[in-house]
Amino acid sequence: MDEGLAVLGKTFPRKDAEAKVRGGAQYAGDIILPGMLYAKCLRSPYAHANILEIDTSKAEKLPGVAAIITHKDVVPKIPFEGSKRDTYILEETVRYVGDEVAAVAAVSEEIAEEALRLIEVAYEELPAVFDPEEALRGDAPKIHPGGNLATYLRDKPFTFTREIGSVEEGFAKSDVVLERTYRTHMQSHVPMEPRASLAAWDSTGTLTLWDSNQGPFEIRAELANVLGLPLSKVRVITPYVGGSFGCKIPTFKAQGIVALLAKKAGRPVRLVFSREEQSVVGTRRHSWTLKLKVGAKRDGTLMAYDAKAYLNAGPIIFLGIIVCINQAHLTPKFSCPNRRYEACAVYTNCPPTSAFRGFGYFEADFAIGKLMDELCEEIGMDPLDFYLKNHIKSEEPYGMGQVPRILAFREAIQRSAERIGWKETWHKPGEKTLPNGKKHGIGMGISGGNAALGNSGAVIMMNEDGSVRLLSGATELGQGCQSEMSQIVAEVLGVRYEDVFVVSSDTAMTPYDQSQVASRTTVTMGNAVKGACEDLRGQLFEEAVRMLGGGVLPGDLRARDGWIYVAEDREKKIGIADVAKIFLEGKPPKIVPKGVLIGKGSYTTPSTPPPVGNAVVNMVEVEVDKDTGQIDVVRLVSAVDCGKVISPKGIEAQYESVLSGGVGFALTEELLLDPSTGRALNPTFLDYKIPTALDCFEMDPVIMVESHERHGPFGAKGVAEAAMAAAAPAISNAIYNALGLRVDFPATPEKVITALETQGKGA
Amino acid sequence: MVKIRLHVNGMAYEMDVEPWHTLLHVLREQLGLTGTKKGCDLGQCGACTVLLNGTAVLSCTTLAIRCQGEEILTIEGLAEGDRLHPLQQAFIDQFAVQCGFCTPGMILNAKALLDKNGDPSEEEVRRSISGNMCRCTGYVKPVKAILAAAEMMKKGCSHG
Repeated sequence: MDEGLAVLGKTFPRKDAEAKVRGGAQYAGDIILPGMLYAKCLRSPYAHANILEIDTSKAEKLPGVAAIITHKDVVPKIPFEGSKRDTYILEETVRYVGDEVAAVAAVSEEIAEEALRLIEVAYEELPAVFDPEEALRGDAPKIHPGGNLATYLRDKPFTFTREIGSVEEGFAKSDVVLERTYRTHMQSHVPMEPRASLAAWDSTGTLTLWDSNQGPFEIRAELANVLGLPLSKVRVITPYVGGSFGCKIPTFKAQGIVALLAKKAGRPVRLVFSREEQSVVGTRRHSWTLKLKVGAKRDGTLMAYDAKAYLNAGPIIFLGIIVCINQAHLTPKFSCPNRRYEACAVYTNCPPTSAFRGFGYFEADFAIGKLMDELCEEIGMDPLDFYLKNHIKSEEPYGMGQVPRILAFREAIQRSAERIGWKETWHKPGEKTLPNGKKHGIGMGISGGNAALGNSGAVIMMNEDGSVRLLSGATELGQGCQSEMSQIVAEVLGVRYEDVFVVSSDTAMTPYDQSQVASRTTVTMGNAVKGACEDLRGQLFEEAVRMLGGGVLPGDLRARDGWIYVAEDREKKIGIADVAKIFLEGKPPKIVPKGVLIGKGSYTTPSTPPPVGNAVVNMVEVEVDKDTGQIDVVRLVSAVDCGKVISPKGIEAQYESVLSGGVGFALTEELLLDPSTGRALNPTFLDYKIPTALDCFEMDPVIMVESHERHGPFGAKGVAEAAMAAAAPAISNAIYNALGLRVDFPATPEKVITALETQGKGA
Repeated sequence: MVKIRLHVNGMAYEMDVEPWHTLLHVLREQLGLTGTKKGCDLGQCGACTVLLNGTAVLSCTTLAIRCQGEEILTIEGLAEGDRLHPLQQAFIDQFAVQCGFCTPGMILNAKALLDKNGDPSEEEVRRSISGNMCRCTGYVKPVKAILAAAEMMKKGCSHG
């Protein structure tokens, strides 16, 4: 008898919410250890320079200074593997304004800062380059010995080139061909918690690092590598993280620095980024030059799509090559028989990059959305009709990845259109002026990313009272994974949600997990947790059949609400706690304990690219004031194909973040660099404008399209990373629909007025 | 160093501070009250908000020495033992907490509002937290939570 799901799809209070509202949730920067020192880094004022000499003698004499390190202390000098060996903890060349030169550990941050001022450095300034196409020219300054084209392996420059069909033939058959170059801008993640690390060595020579990151295992592997240690001598613990959105994935120089300082000082050392450091050193969104070409028939049938992507990767490659590959796999999200993609990642002296929600596809779907919008106007087609005709169908191979995925674009587009009233509202560009004098515009965009990646493991242990401990490497960044996993445990094991306790993200305590990226947790960790629970449940059922007697077999049993019962005879039941108690404690004098109740599970994503993705649609209405240039988003409708919904409030909450990453990217956020020095001009909230509570508009609760994901636990899949990815094209197209002209992002009032004046359109 | 006396969450503390130490620094590093967060240390993000005699202030730009004789309330002082303040309960109920870093400052700004104005409009609620930067929530559920807390407090629940 199928009773339906007991726990999934329902709303429970988040596991971490009470600690956070009480102020008791601990982040890496909150931990205080006895004897702890505070670290500060000396940073390069130049975008590109050699360090000829460093003299730390005066700084060392400052009372309260416990240890100072420079590149001379990095022995042996081992490059970061995760960054394709282009970076060391400290070295004699600096490659962006803010790059680490030296570091001090002192009894207070003030003394550490004063000590920095006493360090004397002689630099040889080198020419710098900030644009990827310029960096590829023969006469460009060389940022790394191998040149500015990033290498996948030390000696092989990376260029991704793939063609499906023949774009040449496709363009030849097209009635309309459009070719455009887009440059996407630099955005800062602005997590509210600046990155923090605390390093402590114990008397066995083991390093423990409490660190704000998106996954402790990759950090452990990289630190063990650069510090020349075996894995068993490094423990990384990730406490609660105050937001990341991609910027806290890599292992930074800072973590190597804090470990070396702690070793030299013989005391724990804490390093917390200032807000300025977080905005510059803490990485930014990948920025691109995208050269796109599309060909179509007059009826809107796409014939050919050609993309050339140049990534401005900054001076450290980190995920720069992987993001190109990801972009290739996931775009365009339109049916097109002939398509070609070419990409390379280019070193520049801009601030470093790592990943930002919408890993590669955010920026490409943004540009593609604009291009398709222009195409629609060229052929006189309502964008909604165009999207309904051309969106990739569920399980249709697309992009360069060619992996079929369940993607419910059709339903997401249709339901969004119905919700916003597209057919009644859409008009030709520039045609609608509102009674308040503003221009009205409506636009749409689609996007979507991966929802699985790599592998995860989980262990579940039952206590003698029937409560359970879940050991999971998943880091709680704010996305609610502890709670979601607890719901899966409650569903599979039949225990109450309240009786699930989660031990998170500690390399010494939790099994391997590849980190919280790519919306992978629901599928990969979710399946691992499900497997661990099924393993444990099997052990419980075996004991239960003994206790119930009467020929009951394990296959006859179900677990729900704290009870194990026979499916066909619900009165034949026994409490999970009773089973656990007998199993673990026995019943003196006759019954001895059976052993421990531990379940293990793991899951490996079956392919790369993964066979699971999500589909996101945004439809947006804007009002533009032509006198002030002010753009107001007045309505935003989101729809996401999320598979089976585990936590409805969780998904809603994720999709409300579109205000920050999506609308902010469109209207107010840009990390600006001084073009002559490469210095970031606006690394604080004062001049880097993120949306506040006053930037409100009618955000419809997200439409959840429940397809059934065959790879996901109970048909669920992750959706968080893509939450902001369809907003940029939707807003850009809405602005075009309002004014009849394109405004570069972020579309500040100044840019709108300039566009109106120079392009002279918009009646 | 200067000897000062601070009243925090109903308790008196005597301590030595430097004249230039901010209240944020003293709360976090000397009193171990790390619930108040350092988001920018520049007076821009609101994560360090505490109440000084019921008024919301940015503790990162408030000198510790100037707080003598004032009643300081941090997030840790809001609940009464097991009983959460209606704002705390509402933030949990409304799913208004994600990464949680902006949460303490936001809750205290909301408390300052609700203690003065028990029936605020949505606009007034938004204004009260307009200085709390948040990257996770889009402010949607926090605003709902504050309005829900106002309702709870009107019904006479002093603590949820």
